[in-house]
Amino acid sequence: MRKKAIWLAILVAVLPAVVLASPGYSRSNAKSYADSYCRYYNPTYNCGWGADCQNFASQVLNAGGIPQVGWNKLDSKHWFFSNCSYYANSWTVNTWFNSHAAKWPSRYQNTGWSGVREADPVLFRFPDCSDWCHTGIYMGVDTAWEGSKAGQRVELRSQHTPERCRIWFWENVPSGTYLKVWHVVY
Amino acid sequence: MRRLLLVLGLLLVVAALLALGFRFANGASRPEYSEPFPLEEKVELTPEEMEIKETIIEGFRLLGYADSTFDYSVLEKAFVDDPRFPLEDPFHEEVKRAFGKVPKGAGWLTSLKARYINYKGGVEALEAYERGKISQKELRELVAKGIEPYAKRPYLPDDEEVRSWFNFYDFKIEDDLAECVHRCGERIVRTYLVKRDGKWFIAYMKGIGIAP
Repeated sequence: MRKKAIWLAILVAVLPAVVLASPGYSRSNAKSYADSYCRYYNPTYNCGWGADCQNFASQVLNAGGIPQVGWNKLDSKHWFFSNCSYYANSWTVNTWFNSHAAKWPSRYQNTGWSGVREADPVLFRFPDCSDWCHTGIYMGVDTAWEGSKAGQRVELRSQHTPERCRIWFWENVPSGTYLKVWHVVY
Repeated sequence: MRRLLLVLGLLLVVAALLALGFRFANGASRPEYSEPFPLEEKVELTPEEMEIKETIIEGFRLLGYADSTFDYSVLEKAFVDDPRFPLEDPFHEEVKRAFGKVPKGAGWLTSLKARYINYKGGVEALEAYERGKISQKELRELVAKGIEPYAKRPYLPDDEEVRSWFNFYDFKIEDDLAECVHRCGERIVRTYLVKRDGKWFIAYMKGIGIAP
């Protein structure tokens, strides 16, 4: 009986720490997920959507260890993907993800270009867009796999729509494009 | 029994709505693009088409200058407000943020000016945070007031890079009005131009697809 009580006390003491402790964001896990699925879609998340950039970016963040949260599709504080019919808008829509990130300072913080780190999501607003309309993943400085600087050591990004794997970050980013870096602090 | 069925029915409706995730929510849809665009680059251009092409490229060179300096006055050399292309609703919010209201006759040039006014505020707020002049909390307070933090491009693209963003597919020219479909980075864009005093100006741009 006494033994049981001791174990129970230990459990009660340790459990909150286990539950609350943030395992952190594994940038290497996020990057290797991005490398695996930048060209070939993960069937679990492949819903045949014409615009898949934010869906892909959310998968990368989740693969890096940022846990899905919530259940309400229409609340930008929530961010989850159950199946192709039931998912949070912030998982799939650039502007919603932007709102989501703004509501989670324990996960994301705005930074300028000097503060961007590997596996951070970067939002794009191209000149013809009235709001954020694309998301890519910053992949750090390494050898480009494709594009005009293939084989060169440059800043890289990976993304969907169009599918690009470790392309020079600035490739086909025209002037007048606004950028927002959501640096992961989780 | 009937009441029980009614309650069960209502529960089913609620469950179905949740499962569907209110898919028809206003403003929450992902943009759906057809891709890849089955377009071929137009290689041989008429002198007029060549002028239009160079106007668009010059426009983006000027945007690069404005990105780097926040000086949007240069944009008047390539962009214009034209009553045939009034500013569409989605662009109004940004113009209101910059000017307090949507000015009469506001078009593409006004929307670009507004973007650079807001952009300057957003870049400067972020730089103040990075230099330690304001805290993350203060930055978030600025965001709550409508200042959106932007990361500034760290370099000015040269002419070769600017030209690499474009392929020109189609031109339609009628008097002082022209329509050009072209690649602009990763997007396929339809740009509308108007001719004033013998020179073409960009009056509107609309994204119509994703480049292959």
